[in-house]
Parts: sequence; structure tokens; C-alpha cells
Amino acid sequence: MSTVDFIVIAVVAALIALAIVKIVRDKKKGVKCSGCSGCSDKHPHKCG
Amino acid sequence: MKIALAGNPNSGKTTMFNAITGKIEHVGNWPGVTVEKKEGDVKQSLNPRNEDLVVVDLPGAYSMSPYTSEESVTRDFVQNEKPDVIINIVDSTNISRSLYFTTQLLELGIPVVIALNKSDLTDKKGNTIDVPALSDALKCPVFVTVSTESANNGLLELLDAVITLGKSNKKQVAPNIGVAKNASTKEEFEKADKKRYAFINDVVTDVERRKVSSEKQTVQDKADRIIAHKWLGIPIFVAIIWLVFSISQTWVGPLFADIFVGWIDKVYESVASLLGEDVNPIVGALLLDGIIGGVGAVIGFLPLIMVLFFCLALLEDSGYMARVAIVLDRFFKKVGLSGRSIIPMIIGTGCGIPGVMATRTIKNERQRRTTAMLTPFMPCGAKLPIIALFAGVFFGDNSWVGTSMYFLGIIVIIISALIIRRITGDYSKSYFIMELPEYRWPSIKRASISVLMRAKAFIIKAGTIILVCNAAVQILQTFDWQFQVVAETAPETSILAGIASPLAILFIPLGFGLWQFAAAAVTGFIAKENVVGTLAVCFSITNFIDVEELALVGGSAEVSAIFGISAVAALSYLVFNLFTPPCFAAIGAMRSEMESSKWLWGAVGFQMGMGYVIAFIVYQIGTLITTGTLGEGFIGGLIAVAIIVGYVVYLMRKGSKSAQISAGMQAVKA
Repeated sequence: MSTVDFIVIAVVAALIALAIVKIVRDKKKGVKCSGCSGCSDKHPHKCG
Repeated sequence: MKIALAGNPNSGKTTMFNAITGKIEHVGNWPGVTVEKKEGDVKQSLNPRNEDLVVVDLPGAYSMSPYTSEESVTRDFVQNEKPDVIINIVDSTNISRSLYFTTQLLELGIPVVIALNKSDLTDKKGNTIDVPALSDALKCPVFVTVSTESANNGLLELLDAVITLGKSNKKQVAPNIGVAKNASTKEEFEKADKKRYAFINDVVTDVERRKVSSEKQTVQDKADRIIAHKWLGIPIFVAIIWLVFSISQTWVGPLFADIFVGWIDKVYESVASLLGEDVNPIVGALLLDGIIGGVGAVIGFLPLIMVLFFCLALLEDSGYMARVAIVLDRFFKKVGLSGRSIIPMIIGTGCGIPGVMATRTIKNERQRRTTAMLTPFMPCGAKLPIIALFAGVFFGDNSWVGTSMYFLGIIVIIISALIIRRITGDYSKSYFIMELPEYRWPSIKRASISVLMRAKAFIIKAGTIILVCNAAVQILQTFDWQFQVVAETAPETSILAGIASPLAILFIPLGFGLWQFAAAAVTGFIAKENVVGTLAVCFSITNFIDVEELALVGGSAEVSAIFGISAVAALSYLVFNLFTPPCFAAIGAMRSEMESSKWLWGAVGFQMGMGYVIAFIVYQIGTLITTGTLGEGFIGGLIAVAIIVGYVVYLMRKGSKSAQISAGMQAVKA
């Protein structure tokens, strides 16, 4: 594995980790699907 | 200080809430858009003294005696949470209707300030309201407001009065209507209502001067005689939806999509050239095909979706969609629903979740649950990329594909409602009365804000759920069960193929018995956009992006060849994805609104069966018409369909019998 491979893996891992963190945070807020919170009781607003 | 915004449906509460707080909650030119209370702080420009002000937007209510669950939200909040001040939003174009609720609010003892909203429309009609006289009669301050205006809208004066009143700790004095406070019998309530209406009548006669008598037919009434006509209304509706799909899918949408897909392509190429030849092909593919390609394939449809939602937002704002509810009411009534069920379905064309949530405006339990079950049959925003992909690749971007899916959704809903009514044995009828909002020129600003919010939501969803799913799909199709890299010539040995292949067998009679389509259908349950993302990853479609082509993913002939299915099978796959259960989030919303596990699992089973049967019919009949022979797996599919239909018929008979028994018992009792 070259350095470039490690960098790419790190970038991919970071993107996936960020996405998962966002999804988990949204779930905690009561948002059923990330992207909008039209379904959230605590922070309801426009749903996409 | 807690300030409640209360008033009749479609009086402009949420528009005022947005204007006061600076938020962008969904508004619509029809009743029943808000079904839950929402809170926000008053924005700085309207709160120069930096007071601690919280505004609560309540669902519309006609009275303090709730008829539907969202009206209960309003009643419970006002009675139990005791706001410091109530801003009662009164539609100034129709004060006689609004004042019933006002008189009830005034009797609670909580300070009330009246906002005579939509005063611009009153002015346009040439009507006048004597504001000081109205204030005297109701014994509370009254302000003229136009929430849709950004300046000189009367909100600063309104809030100033609210703060002063809230700080004064004075109790609201109710006008002397002569209503008994402790009415308990039906007669007492009727007597009280008569007195209340007599009082309102006197007040309106004193304060309002109408230029045109309400008995006289206006231009709007004349327009409604055509647009909401029981027969003419249908072709008009079809023509408008066709126009919306033509603009978004054929005329304007692809122009933006072409540019946008070009940008995605450039990102792909830039990253590819940055990685160069040094990167391991598997690692490179994970980033390029799995993440950039997969997410890009979904995001590529964003311009089409934005144009479509822009057109729908304009229609909604114009007041037209409320007429659709009236036009379709008579068909829905025949199958045990009503026009009230249409509103959640129209909301569901944006996203199924708020659509399902909007079913709580329906009082009848069976109708509410049926509507929650059937709302996901309308093509939501997440399903649009699937429609656009297949319309572009197999049907030359024909706008009739989207239009047909929209109306096929309505037809399937009507048939399903009929079946469910027979299964439940509940033949109760309900009547749909809706106050039609006035037609108005739709606001480009409001439609743009609505579309930008949807676009933001779409991008976030693509960058979270869809990104994770596509990365997982890419990994699962790269390795086999021994975690060895799958040979390019044997993709069927991958973990993904191993998981999806058994399911693919079930889809042979539907024309798409390939593991890639089965995998895409499964990931579609996480989010429907995943269908496109997974197909892009599985077939490496992003390699075929050609910005010179208007077809979104470009090179439609090449893509259809790679897919390896016929146009009929593609149509079958499209309807399968539209009519099988929605994403898990929407199923969760269905669970909340149905409040019954039996109904929920029944609904999921029904949707699964419906999707399978329709896809089977489309593929087999379509193949027979186009090739002269039946499609592959006909016998197996027929057995599966016969089992599904047989079970539904059994349930319908059982339901009819139990309905007859209960009708008989009622007759005996009588």
C-alpha cells in the first residue's frame, strides 16, 4: 500500500465517519432522516 | 414571555411566525399545513429592547372544542400551558368566520391582541374594516398586518402592544355576549352558539363595509366554476401536472442538469487525475465510484427535482392545489376516503414523512390509517431520481413517464382504498368541507426559499445516508465471502451479489431478476435515492456521464445496454420501487400515526404485495404487447400473484361478513 492509498482510505473513512456522526446526531434530535427535520418534534422545519 | 399565535386554518399564522422569528417553516395557501406547534424567538429587528420573547405557532383551529387532533394541540396549549399573550390572527378577508374562535379566546382571561392579517387582500377587494370600532367591541387591541410583506407589515406595532400587554399582567376582559360559562347539555351549547353568532353578526355589521356583496359572483368564483368543476377539473389537473413534469424533466430541468452533471464530472476527473496511477485500483474505486460516483449520480438529479418542486410550490401558493382536493373528493368519497385524504397525499409528493404526519387532520380512525398507508404511493422527492433515471435512459426523457406515475399513484390509491374498506368492513362515510383559499399570484420568493430548503435537505441526505450506503455497497461488491477481491469477470461472486441473488429470483417474473436490481431495491428501503446510487455503483454508470447529452446520466443507449433489461422491465422496476413500502423513516412515521402494530404490518405487507402485483402486470402484459410472448417466469409469478390476490380476497370477504353481522346486530338493537 502506498502513501496515496493511505491518504485515500483516510479521506474515505473521514467522510463516512462525518456522515455517521451527522446521522446519529440527527437521530438524537428526533429527526427521522438526515437532510431535513420535518419529522422532528423538537426542531421541526421544512422537509425535503 | 410566551406568545401564542392562534387562529383559524389558513389565516396566515405560519407566515406570520416566519416573519416574526425569521424562520422558514413550510407554508401553504390552504388549510391544514401546520399540524404541530412550533417555537421560535422573536428576531432582533422586531425586538429592539431585547426582551425574552418566545413565539409558539399553533395549528389552525375553528373553535376551542377540537374536532381533529391538531385542533386539540391548540386547545391544550392555550388552556394548559397558559401563554402570557395570545396573538389571534384573524383573516381580514373573512372576519365573520374568524371571530367565533376569537370570542372563545377572549373568555380565557389571557391577554389577546388581534392581528387583522391579509389586509392587503382586503384593500384589493375594496373592503374596509373600522379597526377602532372592532377593538372597542372586542375589548382588546387590534392591529392591521400583512405578514407576506417584509416592510411596513404592522408587526413591529403588533409586538410592541403584545409586550406592553404581557408586562401589565392584566387579565383579558371578555365582551359581554351573555354566554353561560358552564354549559353542559347540547341545548345549552346550542343556545350559547346562537348568542355568540348573534354577537359576531352585530360586530361585523358595525365594523365591516364590503364593496362587493358576498352573494355576488366574483372572478375567483367564475374561475372555480371551471377549475374546480367536477368533470373539467380532471383534464385541467392532468394538463397542469403534465406541464409541470414537462418543464422539470424535458424543457428547463435538463438544461440545468446538463451543467450540473458537467460539474460533477469535472470533480470526478479532477480527483481521478489527482490520484493518478499510483493508487491501488480498489482504494481508488471506493472513492471515485463508490462515493463520488454514487453520490454524484443521485445529486445529478437535483436540478430536475428543484425545477419540479419550484413549479409545485408555485401551484400550492396560487391556491390551485386546494381545488385539486375538491376535484378528487368525489372519487375518494366513493372508496371510503374524502378530499381531506388528498391533502396529506399532495404534501407527500414532497416527502412521504410530513405527508403521513398530515393525516392527523383526519378524525375518522379508519380513514386516517388508510390515508397514512396510501400516502407513500404518491411519488415523493426521493423517488423522483428513479423516475428521471428510467425516463431518461429508456424513454427518451418523455415527460409522460413522470405524469403517468403521478396519476398511476392516484389510481392505485383509489383501488387500494376500496380494498381496505372491504377488508376493514367499515363503510362509514365522511363529508369534506374545505374553505377554498383565494387565488393569488404565487410568490417567486416563497417558492425559491421552499426549493432551496429542499435542495439543502437533498444534498445533506446525499452526503450522509446515501454516501454511507454507497460506500457499503462498493465494499460489498468488491470482496467475496472470503474477503478476497472479486475478479472483474466474476462480479456475481461478491458478498453483495450473494446477499441479493436469492431476492433476485423473486424478481424474475417482474423482468429484473438481476442481483444488481435486487440490491438497489433493498438499499432503497433505507432511502429511495439509494436505488439510483446503488445502480450507479453496481453498474459504474458514472463512467458514462456525457454532458453533451441531455439525458442525465448521459449516453442513454449505452446505459440501457449496460443495465441489460428491456424498456418494459425498466417500467416494471420503476413501478415496483414506487409502490413497494417507502423508506424506513416513512414507515416510522406510519407507525406513529397509525398507533397500531396490526395496521402497520398490514400496511407494509399490503404495499409489498401491491408493488409486486403491479410490476408483474406491467412486465408480463407489456412483454406480451411488445414481443408477442409472455415474459420470463410467468408461471412462478402467476402463482405468487394468485396467492397475494387470494389472501386479499379472503380478507375482503371476512371483512364484509363481519360488517354484515355488526349491521345486523345494530338493526336488532334498534
